Amino acid sequence: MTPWWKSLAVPHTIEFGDFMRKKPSLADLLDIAHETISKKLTPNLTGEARYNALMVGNAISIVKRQIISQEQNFSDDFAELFELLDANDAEQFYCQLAKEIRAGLHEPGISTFKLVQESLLKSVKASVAESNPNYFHRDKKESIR
Amino acid sequence: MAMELITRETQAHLERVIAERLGGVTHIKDVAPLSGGAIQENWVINIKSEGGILEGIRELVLRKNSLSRIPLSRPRGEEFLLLRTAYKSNVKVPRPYFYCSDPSIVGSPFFLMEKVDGLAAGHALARQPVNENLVRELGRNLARIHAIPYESVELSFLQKLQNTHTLETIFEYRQQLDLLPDAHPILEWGLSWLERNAPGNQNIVLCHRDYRTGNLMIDGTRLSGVLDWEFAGLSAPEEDLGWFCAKCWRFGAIEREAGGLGSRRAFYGGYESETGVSIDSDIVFYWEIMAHVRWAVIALHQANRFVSGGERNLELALTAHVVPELELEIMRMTGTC
Repeated sequence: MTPWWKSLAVPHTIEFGDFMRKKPSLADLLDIAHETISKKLTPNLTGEARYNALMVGNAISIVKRQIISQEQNFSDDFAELFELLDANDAEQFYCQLAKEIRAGLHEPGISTFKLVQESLLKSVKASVAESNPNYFHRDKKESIR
Repeated sequence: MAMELITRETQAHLERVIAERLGGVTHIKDVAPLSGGAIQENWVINIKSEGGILEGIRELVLRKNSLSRIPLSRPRGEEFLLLRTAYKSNVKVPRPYFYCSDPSIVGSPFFLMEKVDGLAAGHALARQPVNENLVRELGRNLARIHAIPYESVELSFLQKLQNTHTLETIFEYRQQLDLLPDAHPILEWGLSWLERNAPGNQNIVLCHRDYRTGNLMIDGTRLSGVLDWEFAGLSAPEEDLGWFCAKCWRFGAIEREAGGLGSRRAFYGGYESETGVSIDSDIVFYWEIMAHVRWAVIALHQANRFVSGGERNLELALTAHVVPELELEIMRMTGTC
């Protein structure tokens, strides 16, 4: 049986749909929409209108990165953990993992501690790469203590 | 002019209430929404008043509930009493005028306060040159908040805390997570770490609990007012210190550890000069982790107002997308133990 997380990749029906659609792709369209807002619209705006335009640009960027990352099998981050928890689907998996962490089933000294810690770290890095990849660059600045 | 925000009838009701509470005859000249209140709704009101406390032409701020609220936020009446107590204690805050519990005037209970001048926008302030004097002043001002006597009858609504209050805070955030539709394993991971590493007995003071860049009005190079008292309550002083210094509240200037404005040393120095007590940086670090968890819980509730609360607002919708950064910091900070 195909594991549930494999199904999170773009299904075949969408690939067929993509073949039928005209180019440019959704990601390319969003790219040019973002470029238009950030280079042609935002510089001419001030105050609340500028803030709103920046938010729209940000939302478009997030959607574009999500579309691109759906082609990668990001849920492999949890593959080993999924086998361990014996969950049926993604929702049940997250729910069960959260419950088990709260119940102290993956604390330091317990064999699963490292696996859970590493899986969570990998998955959250993937999420930041989608929501705000610039965050990783900012991180390198020296602190003024 | 932005009088379309309120009807003529609302304007008349509001003018009547202001006259009743503050004396004189008040005419409202303009009403406009103020940006920056993601949870509450703030209006700036231009008035002309003859007689009474507000004699002359003034700008006021009306603060009311927004369409839906998040569970951690206090009602406006309690926020008003906290603001008034702070004002009487010489903390730099906008002067509060009155609270009106009647929801029929502007659609929900509200209070009226002075409009203080300056800039509060976090990203703009974090791009200005480092100002260590300002950061020291912010430290001193926070110490004055922590010195406010909180056992008065007026603040009797504040929940008294036991020595286990840190654990109660963790319990509260778990309850808040349980109200959300989805599970959040990383926040659970952070809360478990906080539970295992909770500090022992801590001093309890009145905390602002949202003392950070963005809620501090800065006029030029000086603090002109501490805004947004809706989360204030009793807690350990390190909660406010950690919240102000937490990486998530530096608005991109992450190298400036004091709220994206300057050095942690200057901020701690200002605080210690007022209290005469040394800050325990390990306990502040603990509360910085708590700060990331807390902001994530609030952000998820704000996003939920968009998802299931019926508020069509892009800022609320985008708030959920700050959560991965907060979660990443939680994983990093808890990875050291």
